Amino acid sequence: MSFEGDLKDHALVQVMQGIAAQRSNGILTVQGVDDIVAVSFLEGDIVSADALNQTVEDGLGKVLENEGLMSEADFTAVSREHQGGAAGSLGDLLVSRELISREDLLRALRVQTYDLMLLVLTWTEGEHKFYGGDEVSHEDGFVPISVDELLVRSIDDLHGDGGLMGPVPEAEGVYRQVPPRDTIRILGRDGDGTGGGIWISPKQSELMARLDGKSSAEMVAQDLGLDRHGVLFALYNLLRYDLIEHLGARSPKSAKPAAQAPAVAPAPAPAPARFQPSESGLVSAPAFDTVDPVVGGVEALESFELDSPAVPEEEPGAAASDDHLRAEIFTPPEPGAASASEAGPVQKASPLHRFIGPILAALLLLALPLVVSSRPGQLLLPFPWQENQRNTVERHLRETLFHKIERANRAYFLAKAHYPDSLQELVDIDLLSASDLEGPAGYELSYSTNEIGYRIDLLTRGEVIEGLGTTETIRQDIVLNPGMLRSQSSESMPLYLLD
Amino acid sequence: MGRRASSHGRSCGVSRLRGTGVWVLLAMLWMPSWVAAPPVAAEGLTFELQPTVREQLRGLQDAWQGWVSAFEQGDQKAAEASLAQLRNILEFLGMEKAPDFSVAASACAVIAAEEGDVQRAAWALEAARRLDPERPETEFARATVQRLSGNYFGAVMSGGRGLLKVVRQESLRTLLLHNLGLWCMYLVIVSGLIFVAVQMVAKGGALFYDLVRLISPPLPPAAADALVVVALIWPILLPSGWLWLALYWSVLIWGYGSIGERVVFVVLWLALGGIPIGLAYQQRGVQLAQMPPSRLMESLESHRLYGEIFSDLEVMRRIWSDDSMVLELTADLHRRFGQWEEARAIYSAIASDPDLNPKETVPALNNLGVYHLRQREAEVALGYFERAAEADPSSAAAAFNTAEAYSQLFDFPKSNEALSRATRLDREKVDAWNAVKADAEESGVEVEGGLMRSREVRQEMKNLWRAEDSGSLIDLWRRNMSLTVALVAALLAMAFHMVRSQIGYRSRVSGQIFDQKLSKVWRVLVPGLASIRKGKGVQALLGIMLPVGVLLVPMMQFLGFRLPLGLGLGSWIPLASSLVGLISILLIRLGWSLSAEDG
Repeated sequence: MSFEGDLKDHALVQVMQGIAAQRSNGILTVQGVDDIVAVSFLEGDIVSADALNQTVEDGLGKVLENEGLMSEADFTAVSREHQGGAAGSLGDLLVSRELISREDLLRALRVQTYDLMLLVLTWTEGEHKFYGGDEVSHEDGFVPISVDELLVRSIDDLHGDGGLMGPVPEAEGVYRQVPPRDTIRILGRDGDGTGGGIWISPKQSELMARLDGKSSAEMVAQDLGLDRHGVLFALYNLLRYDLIEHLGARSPKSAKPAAQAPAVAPAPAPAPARFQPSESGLVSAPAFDTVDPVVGGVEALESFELDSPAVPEEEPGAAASDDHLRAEIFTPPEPGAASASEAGPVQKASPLHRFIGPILAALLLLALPLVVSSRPGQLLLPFPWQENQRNTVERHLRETLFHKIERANRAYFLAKAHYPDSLQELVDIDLLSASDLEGPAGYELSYSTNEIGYRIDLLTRGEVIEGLGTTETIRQDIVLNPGMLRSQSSESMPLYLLD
Repeated sequence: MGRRASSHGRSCGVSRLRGTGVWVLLAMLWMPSWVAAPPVAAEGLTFELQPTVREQLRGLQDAWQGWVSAFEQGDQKAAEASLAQLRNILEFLGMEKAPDFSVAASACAVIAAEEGDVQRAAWALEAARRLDPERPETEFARATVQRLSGNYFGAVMSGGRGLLKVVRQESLRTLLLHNLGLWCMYLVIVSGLIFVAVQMVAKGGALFYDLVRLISPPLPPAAADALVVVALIWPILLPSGWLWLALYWSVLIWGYGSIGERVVFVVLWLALGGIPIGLAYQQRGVQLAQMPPSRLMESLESHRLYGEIFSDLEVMRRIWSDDSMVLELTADLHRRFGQWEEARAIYSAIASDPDLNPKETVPALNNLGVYHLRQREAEVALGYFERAAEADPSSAAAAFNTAEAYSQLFDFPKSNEALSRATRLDREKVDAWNAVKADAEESGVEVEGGLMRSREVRQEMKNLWRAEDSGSLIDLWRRNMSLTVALVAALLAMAFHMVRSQIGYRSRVSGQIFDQKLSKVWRVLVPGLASIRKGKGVQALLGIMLPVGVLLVPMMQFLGFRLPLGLGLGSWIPLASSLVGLISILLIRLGWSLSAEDG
């Protein structure tokens, strides 16, 4: 089976849902604006993804480093060895060098594949082409990523940038069908998703049919063999199209069978609810809340438990708080989902999260020039207990400024035989810079002069700040003051009394 | 002009300063002289000048006025004559350079160039150079003159030469180095703040989302949003709120970062805590470089006569009134001015001071010997030289002067023997002394004992600061408090991260998903953003530091310590350099971005 299309006409989400629905094997190439990605599907699940502009090695290295599994230096060394012609794949080499366990390698590859798929989901321009084929190469032992898992997690991780937005529903909730607004069509059976009507997958159709307003969705999903992500995405899709409505949390009565199911509740009551591995043999995704969003389903190998304990019968009200703990806030749901959210604790979403980072950053960056221009000393010594030290630093800065002005004034005096009427005169002939006319803490300088000296004061809001000024005279200057040399003999005192 | 030598004396009375609150005294004496009202000026100077010296100093002023008049009239010959007179007087006073006149001549050059008279500016610059060849102001003035005449390349080159001269002068170099330190601190802090801001751009949404998720429900979404916004910006209300805000955000965001980013945050916290310690050290250095005694000693070492030489000496004498080093320095100044009688009296007092280590009296003994040698009292001189040689057998000057004394006494075998000893001790100096042909009035080698000991005084001043530092518990506490803040920030970040790891980082995503969406313009314009998206913290910080560092260069004119120059480099060269640097960085980033796309 092969097909192709434009991302503008056919959203990738839809394309992948189609592949998953038909459990196809093959490679889907997606050509975006900046890159081309090849996604391998096995039985409708993703088993590998490669980008043209990013080698597996590059991506793997980043993931291993980010996950703290390996240092960049170690990875680079092995990567070079591999490029130098070492046998086997890079992953095998890493494992054989005992730098990483096989499990960690598979885990990292899964993270890398997931990240790449998230990237592809954000593409809105480009083309896609699917090449069907029985043989799909992938890393042995790689835990496939179901399309449902990808899409459900992308809602959370992409905040709507992947084309899907709105709240992720709760699997423990009770739902029932509502009359459809349009004709329901089944992917695969009725077409590839093109054309009018509401397109859902066969599994979603089955789930919808069994939602009777009594049993929780997770219980129904167990019967159908849907994994955790499968049921979540199915519920998400059905709610999105207004095909079902949420009636609330699972009732205490309905919780009982799940808690008592032998495969589900090995621990003493209150036992956590569990999901069964899916019928396909692929690993079911872990409970959504316990999933590291990056590591994802691999942790499911260790635990399928939901982090929310089953609600004890005697505390029916606790179901709500359980919901609260697990509530999701996303971008605003589509209008059609509004009725569903009214029925349950699903939250209205906020668009703020998309803009809050840049807004806050702008706030900080705007404060920066204000601080630099008004009181730069605060940049280095901002804390209240550093005020003394800050004043000392500012005093030193001020003194060096006064000293510089004194040097310039001295040169001017020697050239013109008098002090300048204003400091601006010194700036005009390049003896001072314009920046020298302002005090270190942003204070204005006030300058006054007479025949034998000058005074500089610091002003704030037009008021002189006492104690921060300086006065200079030529009295003791043997270069500037002719009178000093003439009068000294009459003023002078004996220099020393040595004996 | 007589021959001069130097001798390594040892500190003596300096140690007496310990525990006397010298810095309080310094502040009281020094600050009024050029920061507040001038009480020193009211009291007059106590350095007595003989009529001959006063006459010479007046002649110096007259010669300068003559030069200025000649300059204004465009009379180069008259100006040359005045300049020659100036230099003769300087030589008479035992000095070689007149920095004040040099800077003033540079200012005249700039004024002439502003008026369009480049030729007059050129000979003013030449006069400035001859009055003090080491003044950076001359080169900066040359740069201004060249710029005004359209020679921009020459201006840049002259500016560069001026900067080199700044580096060569100790006090200016010290301030320049402290400015470099200050620049580094500003660089780290500003870059750190921008790093946090860019982190907020990249991860703020995820943080916001996670915080909202924590409290909604039970709160309705709008209320949760509002509450989280308030929770994110409340530190802005604190004093220095912008910093608390950045610190607070860094703590919140820390867990979202890669290992590299987390390391960068830790480094930034440590920098924030360490800066007060660095600044405290720096303040001492700046204070030391700016002190009148430092200026006096540096000027005397390089034979500079400047206007405030006596008032600076006055400050020094008031601080260390009974210190033999100051007395010896005063005597040296008298000696240089040719006031030998005044010098002799002080040298005699030092030589007979029983509290002094014999070695410390060697320069005084030597100079007393020289005094008597020039008075043709060779036998008396010989007695002093022998005492000096006995006190310090390694003194080549004492041995050389002994040879001179024997020579005056016509005892040539002993003279040769003493000269051989001097040569063995320091052939290079002896050759230099012999090269100066001196008549009987200038025979003997003078020793600058006071100046050489001044270096030890500087060291003692630093030691005193250290001693005072270690004793000030409040200051220590205040300084280390910042480190405590850094530590608390790190602990909070880790605790917060651990708590949220339990709840789950719902929005933590691998950075690469943003690359596609990040527009090229932003990637090029905002340094660090692309690297932060990829989780490369160190690379991001360095990417931010580069343009910030370039941007800070011209800003250091008002952020840093001003160099005490009568005529500065001006703002256009730093501004132009910064602009060129920023454009280059932008182009390089653009190039990399394009090549990455092509690749």
